[in-house]
Amino acid sequence: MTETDEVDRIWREGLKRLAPDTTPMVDAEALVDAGSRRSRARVTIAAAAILVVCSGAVAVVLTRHDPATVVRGIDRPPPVVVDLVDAPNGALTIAVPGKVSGHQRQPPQIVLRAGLVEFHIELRSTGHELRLEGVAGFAPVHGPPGVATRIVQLHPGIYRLYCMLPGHAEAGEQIFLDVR
Amino acid sequence: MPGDRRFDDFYAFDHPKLVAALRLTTGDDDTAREAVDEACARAWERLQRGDEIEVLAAWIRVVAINGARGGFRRRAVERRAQSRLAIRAIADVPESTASLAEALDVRAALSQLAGRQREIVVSFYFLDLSVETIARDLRIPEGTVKATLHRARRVLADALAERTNEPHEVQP
Repeated sequence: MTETDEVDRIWREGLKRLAPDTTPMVDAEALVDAGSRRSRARVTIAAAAILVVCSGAVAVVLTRHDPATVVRGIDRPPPVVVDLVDAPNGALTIAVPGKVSGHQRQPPQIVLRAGLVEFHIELRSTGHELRLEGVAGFAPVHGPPGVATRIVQLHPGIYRLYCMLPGHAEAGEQIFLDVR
Repeated sequence: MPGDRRFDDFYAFDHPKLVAALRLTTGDDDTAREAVDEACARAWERLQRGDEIEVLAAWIRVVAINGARGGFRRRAVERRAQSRLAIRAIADVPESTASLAEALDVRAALSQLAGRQREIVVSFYFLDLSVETIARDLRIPEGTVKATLHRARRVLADALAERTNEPHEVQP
């Protein structure tokens, strides 16, 4: 196989990997099934490695509700909850939770289940403006210090959570969410 | 109603992949779905009038690509503000870290291409259309399609080389 063939292969396989999911997220039977197994137990999956980058830090803690919850009066699979907290000194750190596809990878990646994902974002300092690329429902989060919540429906795919301020993402203030 | 069966086949086999292709070229769910829906509606109207459409899937594909391009233009200002094309992805393919890294490289390479170039790349690599078909659909010379594919290979090769620090040569 030539180098050109190899690049062609990567284009083909990469686009298949990047092609959006066109199937319904949850079918009616799944909703009924989820409703019949209502339970609100929360299971913390993990909280692990820390990546210190640029001038700041956001701690990401992943928590999962299991197995079902009620959102806006409709039984649905429970949301995945991602808590983000910036560092007290204004530095942006990303603490990557347990399901990480390779701690050594830069930028880091988190694997999440598709469906509702709830982001709890606590900004303890100004100087960051977080955005989830390509998701209209995720309004950019920025100072002043405080707590914000964003609930979005994520289809399977790769999403980039990053700081919009010039130079920050390039300096490493970003993380990829691998939603499956 | 002539064409009913063909629409059934289109929705069963071609619709999901065409929507996915247009999402890749535009980076926008709404634009992709609206473009395909609009193209289907136009096809339906033509068939109801008694007009003939030789190959329904191809006709809808061309109209949808043109429609999506219009949507892309309308959103160009917003997209420039975002500075980068947003592209979603599926993850239902079992993968290794290496394949995920390659997908991210493809994502980065695709974002470096202009709208028409993305249409060509997605048509060739994702929709598996021939150079001849792409040229006819987009009404451009075959040489332009080949040149664009060559540039796309080079862009991706550069992205791969940057990540791995190993040069990837692309033959002309």
